[in-house]
Amino acid sequence: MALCVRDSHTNFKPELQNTMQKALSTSFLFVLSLSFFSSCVLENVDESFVEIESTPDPYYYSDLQYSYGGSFYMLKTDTIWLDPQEVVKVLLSEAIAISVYLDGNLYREIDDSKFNLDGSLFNNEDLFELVTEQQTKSGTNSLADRLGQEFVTYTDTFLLKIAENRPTPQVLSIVETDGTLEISWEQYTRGDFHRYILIDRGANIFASIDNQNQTTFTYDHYVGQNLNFRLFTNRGAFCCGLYGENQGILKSSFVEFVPAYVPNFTLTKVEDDFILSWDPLPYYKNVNSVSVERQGGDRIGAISDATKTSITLNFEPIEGEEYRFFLITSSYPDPENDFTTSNYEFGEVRCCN
Amino acid sequence: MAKFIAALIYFVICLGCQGQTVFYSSAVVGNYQMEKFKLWQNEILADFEAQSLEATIIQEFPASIQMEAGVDIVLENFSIGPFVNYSFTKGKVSYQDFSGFTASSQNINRILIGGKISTVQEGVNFYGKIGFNYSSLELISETKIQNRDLEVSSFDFSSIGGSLEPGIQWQKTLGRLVFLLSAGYEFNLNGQLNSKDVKDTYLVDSMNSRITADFSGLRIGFGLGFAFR
Repeated sequence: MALCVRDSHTNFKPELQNTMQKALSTSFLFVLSLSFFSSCVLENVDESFVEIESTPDPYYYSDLQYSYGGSFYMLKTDTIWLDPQEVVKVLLSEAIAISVYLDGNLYREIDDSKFNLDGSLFNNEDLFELVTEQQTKSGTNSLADRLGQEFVTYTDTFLLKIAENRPTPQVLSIVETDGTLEISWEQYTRGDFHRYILIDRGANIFASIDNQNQTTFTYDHYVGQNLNFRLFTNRGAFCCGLYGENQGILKSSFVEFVPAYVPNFTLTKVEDDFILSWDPLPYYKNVNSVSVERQGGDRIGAISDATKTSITLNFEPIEGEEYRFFLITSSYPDPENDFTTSNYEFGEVRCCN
Repeated sequence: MAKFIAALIYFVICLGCQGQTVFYSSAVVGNYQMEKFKLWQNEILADFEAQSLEATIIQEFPASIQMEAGVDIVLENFSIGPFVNYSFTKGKVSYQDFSGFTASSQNINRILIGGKISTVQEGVNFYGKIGFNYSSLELISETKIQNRDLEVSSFDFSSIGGSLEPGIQWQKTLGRLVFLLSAGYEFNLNGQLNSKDVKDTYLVDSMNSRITADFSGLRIGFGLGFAFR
């Protein structure tokens, strides 16, 4: 055996050392090379990327509101017209933090649900640029979102005016054509718009229009009455008590439409009958029935054909006496609102032609 | 230290002075049972899913290349000698989207020290290994969100156990070089994984059952040895 330790340690040592060095260098180099591989597991790892929608969920956007008269109304991105006693409110239920900038300067950082406007801003003719930055969770359902570390900042810009002289909506024209009224008005461009409301003399709402861009309305139930058109811009709550400024009405304009039509009654004796006649109704197509009353409450009669322009009296007038009549026109029931509109046209006539 | 190693080698050689002594090192491909860890991974996966995170198991304690070194001392018709084996495998449950990733990793290392006995003849031989092992588990939780720093936390555990591996081995001697090919099956039994940091604390699953590392599995090795004569 080349390697033997039985004979002599003296003879062995140099050979052993030489051999050991070879063994160590061969074996342990091999071991070292294996140690590199041993840290590798024999499997392909596929850490695939989970694709999810990265678009923030607008659910977390908090609506901005302003308060007036104990109620809150939506704040829209436009010029808003605030009264001094109004407050701006932000629903912080979803927002994490909100910063408000006024004319580029940090006005307030909100950690409460609302803030009052500074009194120095009141009755100032200037427009203020109000910018709100609200930070919310993103709502993407990503990992970062679930860990509460992914946010979205929504920025809203308003032009803010704090003054009493809120602009008044203006009715431009009311044109009657064959019994149809075309009502047009100046568009209300402010951000505090909620709806246009038109009411008639009887305080009935005959138009409630949510579209801010709509500036005309066709009224086809007109039966000759004087109409008090009242155009409102309204904050939202609108129910009872139309004229109360605390019911959400911002401003209203009042226009009375007086029809050109007058009955021009004539009283004629035909043989033994006395016939009451009047000029044709220009809006006859809207009229469901026509009745005639004598002043004092005596009913003369009714006719269902609005194109007819006369009725036989149920009493014998005295020659040379002056009589007063009402021509009462009633509209067809409005299929949407289920009400009829009536009009009383008054006229005097002397007996008899 | 160098003197100690030299003395140890010298001692082993002395043991084998009656016959041949072979130093060898091997690369061993091994797979692992790890049943309890695989079940526990599913619990981790369920935890992710409870948070609506569609995580996936991307590593399930796959096969790995083990490192082994030892000495075979040839005595008459058999050889005997010590060996040391190092093995490593890992599990990983991960979720990743555009905003970042989060992962739970289970890295398991083991050092096995034991003795090996085998028949001695040119060609195919039978062998048996027996030993005890020290295993360590590192649980790593990582989260990286967008541009923020990587957040890492880890917990370390350890256990001891024993192994028995019967198998066959083919060897070819060319001069002083010995080429080895082996195939066997390791039966491994490990104790509970105790926390290295917290006393009297060990790893359990949601059913309060102890989680243990089971390295049992097939072993296919290729080795190279150097024979002293």
